[in-house]
Amino acid sequence: MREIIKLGLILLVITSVAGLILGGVNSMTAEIIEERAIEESLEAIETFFPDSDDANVVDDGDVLAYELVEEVYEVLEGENVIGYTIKTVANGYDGPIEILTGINMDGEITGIEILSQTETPGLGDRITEEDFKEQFAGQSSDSELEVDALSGATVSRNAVVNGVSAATDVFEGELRN
Amino acid sequence: MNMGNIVKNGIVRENPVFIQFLGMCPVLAVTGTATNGLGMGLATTAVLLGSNTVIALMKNFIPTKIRIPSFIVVIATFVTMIGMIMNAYLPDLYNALGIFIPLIVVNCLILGRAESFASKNPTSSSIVDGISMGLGFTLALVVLGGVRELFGSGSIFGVDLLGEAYPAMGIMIQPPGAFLALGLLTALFNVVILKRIK
Repeated sequence: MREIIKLGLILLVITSVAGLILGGVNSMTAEIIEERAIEESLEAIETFFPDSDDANVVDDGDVLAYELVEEVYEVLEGENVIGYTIKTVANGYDGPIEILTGINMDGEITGIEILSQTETPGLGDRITEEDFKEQFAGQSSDSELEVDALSGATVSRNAVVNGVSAATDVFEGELRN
Repeated sequence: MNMGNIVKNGIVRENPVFIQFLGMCPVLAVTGTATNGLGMGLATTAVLLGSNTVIALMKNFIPTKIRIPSFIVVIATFVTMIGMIMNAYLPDLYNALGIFIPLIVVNCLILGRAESFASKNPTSSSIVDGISMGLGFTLALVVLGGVRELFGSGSIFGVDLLGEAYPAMGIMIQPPGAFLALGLLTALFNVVILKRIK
């Protein structure tokens, strides 16, 4: 009995020290990690809306309740909202795919960006190529998306199409006035 | 054991990949490019160095009965720390390695060195052992990643070497290519390097 308590206490000391160290490192890096994630999204927003001055996070329960929708930014030029950038997470062939979709107030997709993905190298990861992504730009948010098939990467392609459709759905349903 | 021998063991004679076949999960999974192999190798080296040092320092404090959970806590702490630091300062590499960073915890190479070396040897030689084993692992991963990238994408470290005309062998950067390349390289390692050492 006494030995069990002694061993338990030693493990407690080891894990407590480990916990303290991790807490310290986390408080040092968490801010940088978060800032970088926001920066990445802002960079993509710049390419979707070259005239944009600023972007605000839309923190609205109805908007975020939509399927696959993760984050929504309203893009501002001066005081005017010129469009939205919507982050969706779709299920790919091999894990989640994070997609950013820009839609302007006319309901036109201005571009998409794949933020992260783990699709098969050489097959599914072709969804990150410009030739694939640029097909979305210019399409209308209230009609079915028309995207070429990717041979050998049907699941990955469909996942991106689903993610972008989810973005157009939330735009049509909640954000378009 | 003298330091020179520890270094030779880690890099060549007991190479973690080509001789001991340890940590096969990251070895096979992340070596699609030389860059990823290098990143994974260096991350593992950092963890090995940290865990070997701390475990050698604490070996008299840790009772034998709870050594495995204690080792795992030490290793997991280093892995989590390195994961957070990579995420903050090397985001591209962090994204490329993905799930395999937290999985360094269960890389049996690291627990293996803690159990078979660091818990029985002085701190100084444990540090040298950690670095040598780590470098042996890194070297193997870079060679494997380089070969797979060369045949699979026609480049090494992202630098296009074979040009447009080269028909990329897609299979080499997919999972079967990892097994093929590992098998062939192990054979080559045995013939060319091991023979000379013996």
